[in-house]
Amino acid sequence: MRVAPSTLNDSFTWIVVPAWNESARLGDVLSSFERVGFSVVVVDDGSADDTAEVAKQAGIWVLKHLVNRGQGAALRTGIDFALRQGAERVITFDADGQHRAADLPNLLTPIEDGSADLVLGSRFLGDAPGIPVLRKCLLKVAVLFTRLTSGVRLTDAHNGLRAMTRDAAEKLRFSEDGMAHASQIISIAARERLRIKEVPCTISYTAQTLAKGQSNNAAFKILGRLVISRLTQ
Amino acid sequence: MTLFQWLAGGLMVAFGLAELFLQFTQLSRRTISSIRFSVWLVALLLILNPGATGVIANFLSIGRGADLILYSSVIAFIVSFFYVIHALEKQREQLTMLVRRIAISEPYAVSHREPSIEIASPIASEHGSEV
Repeated sequence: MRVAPSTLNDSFTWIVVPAWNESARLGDVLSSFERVGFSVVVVDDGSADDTAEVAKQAGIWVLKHLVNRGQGAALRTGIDFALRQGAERVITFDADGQHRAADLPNLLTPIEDGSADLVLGSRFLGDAPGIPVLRKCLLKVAVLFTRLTSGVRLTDAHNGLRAMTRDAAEKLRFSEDGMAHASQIISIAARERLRIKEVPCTISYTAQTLAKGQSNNAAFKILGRLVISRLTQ
Repeated sequence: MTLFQWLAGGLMVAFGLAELFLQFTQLSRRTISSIRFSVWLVALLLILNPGATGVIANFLSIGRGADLILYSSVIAFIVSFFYVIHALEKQREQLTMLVRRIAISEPYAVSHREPSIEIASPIASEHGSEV
């Protein structure tokens, strides 16, 4: 992995990794951060396996949700913790091995040069080897939905790889506990007039990640959550 | 009076008395208790005088008194449904906030780094493993 000294090895940049029953994959993900040198916090979202133990062995910060609250809730917990620790930049990174640490320098570049407040990784600007056709179609529908509801034109939606400034992290007070947080983040970013940029990234689809990752039915659950959220707010 | 009026009317009277007792003993909030008491009272009056629903229904151009009850029930169900959903959403958010507060106040700290916030008790102790 190519390391850019200006952006890496910086303890004020925090990587937030929400993890739920990821003991089998989390170790490799955390190992990939070793050369990066950023501060890392894993939020164990009420896992029934050894996720927290795996994270502790990596010598990083570990927070534990006593009960499972969902990826959005775990992300918010990690982001809040990072901000309390003085984070200047926050990166969100999935624990299932789909993301690559090699994409982090590109992700941080718009933050470093001051051209964006929120940077989103896009598998459709980059690469998504092994992506199932149905998943690709659903993600394209999600992109359209995001455009209609938030007015933000994106090429990819619901990609957990993001980077944000401290100011953006403080403004993105999303309340969705589950996967609908990804849509909510874009809506809040649009409302707060944050500058959003997409950069290419690679999402690896393997038998393992597909087995653990979201099912296609999740799209309907997310839609239901967003409707309930709008009705009750 | 019919058997139904005795049974249903008796039930409404019992509910009404229970509400008055709760209010009198200050076990229930006055506003909510008053609303519930009004519902039992109206139900009692309609049970004792079924013709009244027909008069109201005619006035509202609905038709039969039974239809008025049906439409009112549907509206009450929808309002209650949204009230319950709202209450559940509020509870969900409160539970998440509580779980988050506990998680942040009990971080497993990296050994070579001092945590900048006060740690109540290390998370590892919950599992009986190393700190």
